[in-house]
Amino acid sequence: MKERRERVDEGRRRAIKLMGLAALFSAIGVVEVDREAFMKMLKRVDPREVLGDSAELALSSPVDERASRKAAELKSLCMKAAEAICDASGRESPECIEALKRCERIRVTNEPPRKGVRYAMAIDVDKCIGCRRCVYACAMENNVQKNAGMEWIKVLEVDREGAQELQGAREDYTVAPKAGKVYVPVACMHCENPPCVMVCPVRATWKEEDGIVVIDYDRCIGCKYCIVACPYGARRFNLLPPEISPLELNPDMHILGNVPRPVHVVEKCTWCIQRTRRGGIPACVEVCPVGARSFGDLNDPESPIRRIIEEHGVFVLKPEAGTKPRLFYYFSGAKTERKTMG
Amino acid sequence: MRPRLVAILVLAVILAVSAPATAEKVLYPCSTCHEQLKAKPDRKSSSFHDISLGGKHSGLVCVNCHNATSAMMQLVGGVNISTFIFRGEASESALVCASCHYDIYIDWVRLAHGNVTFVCPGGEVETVTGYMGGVYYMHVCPEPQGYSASPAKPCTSCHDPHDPTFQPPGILPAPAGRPDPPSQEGVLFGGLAVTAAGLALIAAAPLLHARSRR
Repeated sequence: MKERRERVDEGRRRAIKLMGLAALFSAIGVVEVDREAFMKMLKRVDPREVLGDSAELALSSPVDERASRKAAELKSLCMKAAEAICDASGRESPECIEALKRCERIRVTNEPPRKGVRYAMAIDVDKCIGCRRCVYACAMENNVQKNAGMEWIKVLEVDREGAQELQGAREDYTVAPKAGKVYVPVACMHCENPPCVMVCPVRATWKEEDGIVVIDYDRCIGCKYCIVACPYGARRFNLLPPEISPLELNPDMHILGNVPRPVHVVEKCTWCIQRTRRGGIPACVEVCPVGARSFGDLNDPESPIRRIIEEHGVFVLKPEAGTKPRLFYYFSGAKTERKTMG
Repeated sequence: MRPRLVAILVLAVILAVSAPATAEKVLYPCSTCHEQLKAKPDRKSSSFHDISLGGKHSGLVCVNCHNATSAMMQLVGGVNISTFIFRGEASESALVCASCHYDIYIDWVRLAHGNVTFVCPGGEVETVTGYMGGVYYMHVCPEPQGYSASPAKPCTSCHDPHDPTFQPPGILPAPAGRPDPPSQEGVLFGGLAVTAAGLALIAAAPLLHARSRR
């Protein structure tokens, strides 16, 4: 009996060994097959073959649907406000014509990230004169609530000498540029490891493939965890329902970017997603009178960002936070004329 | 005298009527005067043109940039700088700057120096002066695709070549409507109170200890 058990155990053991070897070889086989060969083996099913005529509907994502719905909704709201302007100032008035023109132009899109692109921005603190033109151009481009402390960019005045501590930075300066000071515009850093994304309980904010950290305003519940988590103070909370006149509205919108936000959601810089994903540049870069800002693709060896990184070298704010920001700063050495103040 | 005046007037009218897009070139042929005047090549100022080389270009003379036969011109492939910079010739005049400032020229070409803008097919740009007096360029693009970035201005739009130091424009007011920062007085007095209480406790501790032992 005992002998038989031993024999059985031995047989079982051999079988297990053989199975183990077979599993090992098959695993090696799978690992050896490269992705392309594997993709050749697998045939992708075309949804049109399975779904027939209803495929078009199934293929359009919910965000696309929301974008077109939002455009229609905004157009009707805008038209109402424009009619009020026309009633007050007359049909032929320039205000009425401008308001109606902007309402007609309303377009909400949902461009996906461009393939193989990784955006970054660089600011030359030697050139920046702290004029705040970027702050206000950003507010106009992105339909930001005016006069409510909601501007997405803050420009800080920092001592040039010393450790350049941000603690003593001033935001309310009235004379600039001063000798002995540098001006540091701060906005969303579009970090590689964004802490704001990690803490969102409803996954309303995420990092897109092209490096832009976006917020789905319809999904945000306004818990403000992300505002607390952001080491750069880059996020803003809509305490009041936004009021934007048709005369100030930028009609070219992206569903995850400058579309007017509802009340009690968080918003922030999106590197003008509605411009950059189509090949343009952000409004702050375009308006900068001293050309202190540059924007480009980190993966493109011919991009301005690569030139700056290779030629001047860059640094980031709060590297100790481990967030790996993609908004870089650098000193080019080309100082803009500065006034010496007493 | 009178026929000469009439002839000049007729010539001026003909020139004005038949002026092409590059009228300045016809009306201001530099060589017509300069060949006759035999201007010295080492001049730094011209009262006639109201120009005096200054700032970081005070070490240069006129012909470094303006004489088509100078060594500088040979370097940049014989580019002729007219008194007026035309849009199409912007990159050519930039080549003259590049003969000394090559690094900055490459920065400019690579959109890492100077103002940058973008164009969209069939689109136009509206300049809006709005919030807080800030300027904003609103691009009206028929199709939401195919935008391409490019330098917005040639070198000489920002840097006067006769005195190239860039003069910064004025600043805009600080954003309004921000809530006031929290008062620091409460924090200060609270801190003082806690420190005083702590000191009192330290002083009272031996007394309390002695009483408890008794």
